[in-house]
Amino acid sequence: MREFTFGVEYDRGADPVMDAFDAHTALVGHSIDAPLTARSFWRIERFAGPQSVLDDIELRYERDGAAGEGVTGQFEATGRGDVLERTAEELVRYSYVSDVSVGETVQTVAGKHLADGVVLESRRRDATRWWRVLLRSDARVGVFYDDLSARLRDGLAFRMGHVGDANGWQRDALSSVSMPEAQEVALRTATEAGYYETPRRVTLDEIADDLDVPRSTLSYRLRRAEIRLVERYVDAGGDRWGDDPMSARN
Amino acid sequence: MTDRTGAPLVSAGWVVDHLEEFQRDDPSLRLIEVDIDPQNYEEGHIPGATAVDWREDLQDSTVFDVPARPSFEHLLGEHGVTADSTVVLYGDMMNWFAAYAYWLLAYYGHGDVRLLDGGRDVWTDRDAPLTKAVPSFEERSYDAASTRESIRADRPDVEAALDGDVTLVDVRTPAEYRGEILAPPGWNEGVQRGGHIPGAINVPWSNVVDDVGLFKARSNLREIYESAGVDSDSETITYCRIGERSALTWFVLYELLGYDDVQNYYGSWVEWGNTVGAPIERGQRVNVRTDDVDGE
Repeated sequence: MREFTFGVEYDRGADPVMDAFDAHTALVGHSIDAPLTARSFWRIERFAGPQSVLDDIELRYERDGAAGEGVTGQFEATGRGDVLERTAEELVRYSYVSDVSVGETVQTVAGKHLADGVVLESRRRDATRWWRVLLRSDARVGVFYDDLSARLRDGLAFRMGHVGDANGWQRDALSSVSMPEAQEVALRTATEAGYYETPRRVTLDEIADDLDVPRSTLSYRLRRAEIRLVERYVDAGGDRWGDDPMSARN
Repeated sequence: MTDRTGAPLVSAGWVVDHLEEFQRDDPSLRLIEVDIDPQNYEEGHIPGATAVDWREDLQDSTVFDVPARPSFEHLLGEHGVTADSTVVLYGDMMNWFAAYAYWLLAYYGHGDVRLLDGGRDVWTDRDAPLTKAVPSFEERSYDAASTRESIRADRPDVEAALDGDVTLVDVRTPAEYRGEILAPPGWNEGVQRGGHIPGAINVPWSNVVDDVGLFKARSNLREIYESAGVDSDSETITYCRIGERSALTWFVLYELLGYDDVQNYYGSWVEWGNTVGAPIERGQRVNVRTDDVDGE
């Protein structure tokens, strides 16, 4: 399989959902999208971030199911959806967008030009939505690229990624884990400084000095961050694939 | 303006009214579909339309150039076209290749050629009649007039334009214009260097149509180009990667807005960006407006 990656950058004010990502760097979105026809597609997206921001996003989708989908100036479609999961800091939504009557989305342009069976993956963080299109053949990538970049309305800009062999699947599932900024900073700083290398390149004291926090605070934050990652990793593929929960009652 | 008897743009309604004539084996009126994806024609086309394949028919296969005169004459003849035919063109992707075919016909001096506003997409959106039947018309003899070099620019023309007061319009995506993308994905149109011709302004080709695919109102189009610094009294050269999409912009400026002096640069960036020593500018050009517009 082949892949084509690219980003769509949003100016502030260009799209309300992307504005939320721009305003809250801790908010991340990770989706799988499947075009069904040139005018319909479904998506499953996981949002991770601060509770109040997720509340806003949930509300927005309730009010306008096709919120933020269109990349053209005008966009009209029917959007329906459902919440698959909602915890304090995570929201997983299923969306079905159909009857696109005016305008386009990345998914509809893909559905129009690319061979059946195309799958898209997207990651939203800050002001950019990165896309990864998985293709059985890249024969029509050129037309897809030209049509999509021609459709982007004012305030949206195209960023080129690459075209190549498809490489892996959701390897970075963990990087869409959201955590409070202080923990994130602690984790990144420690990693970059070589704290997690064998042998450690740096001590906690040195990192704490750098960040200008007490050692105990740094230690606490790193531990909280680590717990978050471990719990997500161990939980991945847990009971979801097991026996029918209904049968457990018998 | 092209010397012709009718308007350069026709509506879907007009085509519907002439459907019977298009289906007759009569060279006076011919309908030709030019798609970027030839499969579209096979899936259904306007009754009476024949298809031209841009890859095979609208470029010379040996030399990097527009089709040579004998091939072009043969192509048109095969489609039942004579020098007196009114030829109506349409296609997919906002008429991208249909507009290029229009420019080629104009370049070869054809008298009456028109473009269907909105192309394939507007026709299918409106559930207008479609058929899979491929018509077969009697082959005719086509004699092209002399070429109109006044609507075509080549590299020496562009080089000369650098010193003068000529407006260069780059219709590619902003990322290609700025030089961030050298090899547009999916096309064998990569270059040695990225950027744009010095002094060129960027007005992407798709700015001329609305989200439904129809050309914007002329007043709207005039505003778009004038505010970008493209005036009706300047000499203008349009270009893109090879010179196909820039033909759509050429059509708007020359045929719809009636600008006197507009040339399309065939070869465009694929030639310029691969030419040793050709000057290049990168990044975003800031347009300095010489006069303040009231209220802005």
